[in-house]
Amino acid sequence: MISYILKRLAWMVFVLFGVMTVVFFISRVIPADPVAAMLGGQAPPELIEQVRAKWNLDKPLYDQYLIYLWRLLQGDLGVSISTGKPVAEDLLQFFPATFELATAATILSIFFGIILGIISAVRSGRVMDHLSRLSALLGISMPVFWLGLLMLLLFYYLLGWLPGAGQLPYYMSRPPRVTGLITIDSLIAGRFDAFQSALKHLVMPAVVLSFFGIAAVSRITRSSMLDVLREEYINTARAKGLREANVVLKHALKNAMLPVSTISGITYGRLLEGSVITETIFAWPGLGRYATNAFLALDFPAVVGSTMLIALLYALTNLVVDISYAYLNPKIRYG
Amino acid sequence: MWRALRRNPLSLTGLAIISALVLAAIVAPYLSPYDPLATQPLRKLEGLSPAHPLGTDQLGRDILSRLLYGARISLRIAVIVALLAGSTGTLIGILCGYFGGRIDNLLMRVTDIFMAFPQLILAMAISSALGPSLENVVIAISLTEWTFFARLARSRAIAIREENYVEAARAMGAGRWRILSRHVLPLSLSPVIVQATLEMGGIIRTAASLGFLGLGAQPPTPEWGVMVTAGRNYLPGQWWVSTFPGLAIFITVLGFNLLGDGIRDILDPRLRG
Amino acid sequence: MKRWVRVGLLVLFVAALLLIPGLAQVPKDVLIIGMSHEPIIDFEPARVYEFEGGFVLEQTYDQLVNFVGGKEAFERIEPGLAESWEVSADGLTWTFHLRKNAKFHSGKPVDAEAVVFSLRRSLALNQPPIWILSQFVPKPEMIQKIDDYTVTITTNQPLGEMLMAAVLGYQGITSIVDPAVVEAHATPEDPYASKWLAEHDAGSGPFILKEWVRRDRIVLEAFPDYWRGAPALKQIIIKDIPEPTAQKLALEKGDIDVAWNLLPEMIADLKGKAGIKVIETPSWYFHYAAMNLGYEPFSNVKVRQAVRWAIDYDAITEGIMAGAAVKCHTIVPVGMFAHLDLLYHQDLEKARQLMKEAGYENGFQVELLTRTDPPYPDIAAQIKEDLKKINIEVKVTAVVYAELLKSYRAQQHQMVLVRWGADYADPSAQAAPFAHCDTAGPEAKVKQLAWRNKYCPSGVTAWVEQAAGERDPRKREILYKAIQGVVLEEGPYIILHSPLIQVATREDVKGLQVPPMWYYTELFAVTK
Repeated sequence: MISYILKRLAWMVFVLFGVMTVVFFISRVIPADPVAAMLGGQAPPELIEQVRAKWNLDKPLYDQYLIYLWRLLQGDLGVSISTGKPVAEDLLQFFPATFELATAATILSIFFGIILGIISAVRSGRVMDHLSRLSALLGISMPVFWLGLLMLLLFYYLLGWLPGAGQLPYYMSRPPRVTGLITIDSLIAGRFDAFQSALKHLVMPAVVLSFFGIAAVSRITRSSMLDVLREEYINTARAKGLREANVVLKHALKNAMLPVSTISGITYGRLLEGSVITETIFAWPGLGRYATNAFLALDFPAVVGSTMLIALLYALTNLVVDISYAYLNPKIRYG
Repeated sequence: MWRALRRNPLSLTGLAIISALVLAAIVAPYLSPYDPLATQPLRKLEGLSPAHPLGTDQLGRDILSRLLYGARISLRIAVIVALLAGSTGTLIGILCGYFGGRIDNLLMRVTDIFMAFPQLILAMAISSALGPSLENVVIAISLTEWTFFARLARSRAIAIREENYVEAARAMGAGRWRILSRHVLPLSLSPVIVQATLEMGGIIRTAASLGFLGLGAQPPTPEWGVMVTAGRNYLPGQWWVSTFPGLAIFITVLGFNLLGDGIRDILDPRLRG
Repeated sequence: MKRWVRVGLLVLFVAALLLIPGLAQVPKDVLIIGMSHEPIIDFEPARVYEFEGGFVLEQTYDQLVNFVGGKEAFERIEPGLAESWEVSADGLTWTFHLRKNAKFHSGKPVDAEAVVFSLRRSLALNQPPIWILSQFVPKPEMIQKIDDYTVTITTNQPLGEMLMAAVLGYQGITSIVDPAVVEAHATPEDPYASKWLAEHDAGSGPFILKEWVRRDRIVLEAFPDYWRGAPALKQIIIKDIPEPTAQKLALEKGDIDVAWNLLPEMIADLKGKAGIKVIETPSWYFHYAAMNLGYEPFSNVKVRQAVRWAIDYDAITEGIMAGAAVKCHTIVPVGMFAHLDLLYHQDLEKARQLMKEAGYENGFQVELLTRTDPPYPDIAAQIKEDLKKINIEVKVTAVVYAELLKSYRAQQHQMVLVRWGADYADPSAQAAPFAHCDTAGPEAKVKQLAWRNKYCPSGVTAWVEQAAGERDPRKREILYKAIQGVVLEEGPYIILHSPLIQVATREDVKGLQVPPMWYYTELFAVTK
């Protein structure tokens, strides 16, 4: 097991290196001029030359790559053009907001996904099955950007049930940063009002984001439940006269959880992707927006840094999922 | 397959939606009441009326006509990406799977790297680097999609390689290219085609998302994502400008997803019944 | 079953939390502004070049001279930290007398030492916007302390008073910082405490930078000892809301008091809505098209004139811009010193006649390069349609701005459609880029718009240099008007219009005035 994990970790380093190389070259072999994007159309030419030299853009591409690689080995991701700060610092600052949002969304999608999946499985082939599958698919078919705007319009503007964009009411000061997770930080600071507001602000973006996972989770729940429900011991349980609800919830669900846990992990990785758009609409100061801005501003150090972090998280969740899978299911052995 | 599909009302609905969409895309030029690009400065943001059944946008363009032409664009993106990514992916996959060895190893490592990206992020990186445009959206999404097909085709090719009749053909002196083109390729194709159908909804959604972020098709192209983006500025007053293209994306992607869901059921025999 | 009870209780608890209404009242002396923070890099005064950053510095720092108020802000120079000033007979040395009641946020007085330190600091840090100062004051020893409250600044050429004020009233690089604070945070690698100043302030302005959470919120707090008196507002929160739609909804709901990034169509929708006010000011930037004289047909002045007469300016300003722009067809914007009030209009008869005289009766083909974001593609489409009427076949190529700039800077375009904004509040900021070109070769002194379009009028270039140093305002005005006259007649530009700056506020927000360069907006006198 340990050697398996080590092997996987070594492999992850290689993949990250590949990701870095691919993005590095993609972000520099571009028809557009990043310095022009930086300085706008009015800067005098001498200034442009000066800035070009500062970012090593006047050097040949492979030199730039070697310089970047050398610094990377020393743990330096470079300085972002659009924030003027080290990329590593930026990533640390923006990551917690995304983490909080993605976690909330994962919880929601597992919760609703399992409910829909159970209904589907128990009523397999009947109207309820179709309805619950339809609702899961409805969610994933909605373009996130449109869904987000519609929800903002409905629940914030028209009904006033939920607060608008952002993490806290605009006039409310943030709790001191400890973890960067605003709900946790407000509890640490003992500020119940902030905790309550933060939770309320979390609802809409998390729901929008959770639609990504609901379909996948409910689908896998349904199929593994169907498998389990056919097993002998379920029939035995039924024969013993246990109530059907009990059979489903206690026996079947428990055994169907294995594949569900797998898909939940994958969903978690996928959510990072959805956060790119959700964060723009809900003014969420997270990694997704940081990456989007970096792409739009041709801020290449930030582009490479944020893609690497996202790829790392992605790979890590996959690793954790695989390990926990092996742990839960001793039949699987890794060489 | 058709019989299994027929028993699933959801998949039938999906199929119906997609057929309608394809039809709309084909007859768009005959059905559209207006030129999708023709602006009418004096008829901006008009509501629903007999002259403009779905209203007009911020430049006085007819939204219905733009939607119909948009169907062409979305379908074209989906089909070209599926063809491009599907064919290159399959080719690479079966070559790797059949020959194995060092090249296989190398290429599978490359797919690992590509699969380490969340899809949208990679597409954004490529699209911003190449400069946002419709063609580059196709390239960007294809580059993120080919790995799925390569993996799939490879596993099929490995399985087929070991089959008895392939052994037999080899024993009878058939060359490797003959075996590849006569046996491996045709048999690998059907899962690839199914996979392509499953991916189409996602492709259309990714393309629309890129459009929304400003990294996809550019105005005045009547791409649905771009239309939602431009129209969202008129919410809630002139709701029709973004609602109809939004609905169009939603229904189309739903159609593909419904169909895909049914196909998955059929392929997964445990779920029958 | 116990576990289910526990889960149920948790769900109930969360639901209750969400349903209990929070205490949600915005206090009366707090102003909340919704604005996109995307362009903000940091608040190091020597580096800030972007508008949003300048807007914050305007509240936290002071300069020697000041511009206050709305549309007419730049028509007069107000005293800032300097109470009065005079210039030597040769026009090269300016003497500033500082006011004695100005204090930094640390409580220390603003004195000559601080002024000399700050300007020299900016020169030493040598960041992108420094050219605005260093073009006239290139060396640190040109800034000298005379006594505790007197400073002299020597320039390398005589300057008109308006130009001097425009340069020294520019926000970032000319902001006066507290030397004691800089010293306290300096390190051997960072002797000017740039790192610290990037996230804090060391100014003497009406507000103190209290908190900054990147891409989230900027909190400014009133400085009670401000030399003009304590500001009316206690706190200003500039909240990052990148999505204009979300800004509009928040304004309508009353969650924010001011929305800064609404689009013209949203403003049109908000006008006349109860509880909402709209402030509009013509900006000092414009959309313009330019023809490269290096492209054969455009080397003929008659062709350039024909193009100018062929454009349907009304269709663009009223139609595409939806009225959210004012007509301006010259290089010095409306409201700036020496603006020449001259307008073109569509006259196809005249345009065709000119094409005929130029020998291009049958027209030619040209590629128009433009940006992909609105409204450029729409304006380009209109230009294409207009020029078709004089047989010019336009092919529109829309690319991202950074890509466009690459070919524009390399003089490789045939025709472009982009924008330009005044860098500081004086016509020299316009005349030099638009009309100064001694040669179209790589050795040119100023490689800006005239050079990029290979338009090199030697006479006008001499006037541009002369006008910058002219001290008699009357003569200066005549010179700038003459420059505009010639450039409008024979130059490569088609200036289309100046867009309006449109800001929407809640009705109870009073005293907010927006100048043509919006980042000069002062919040000192705003009440709610």
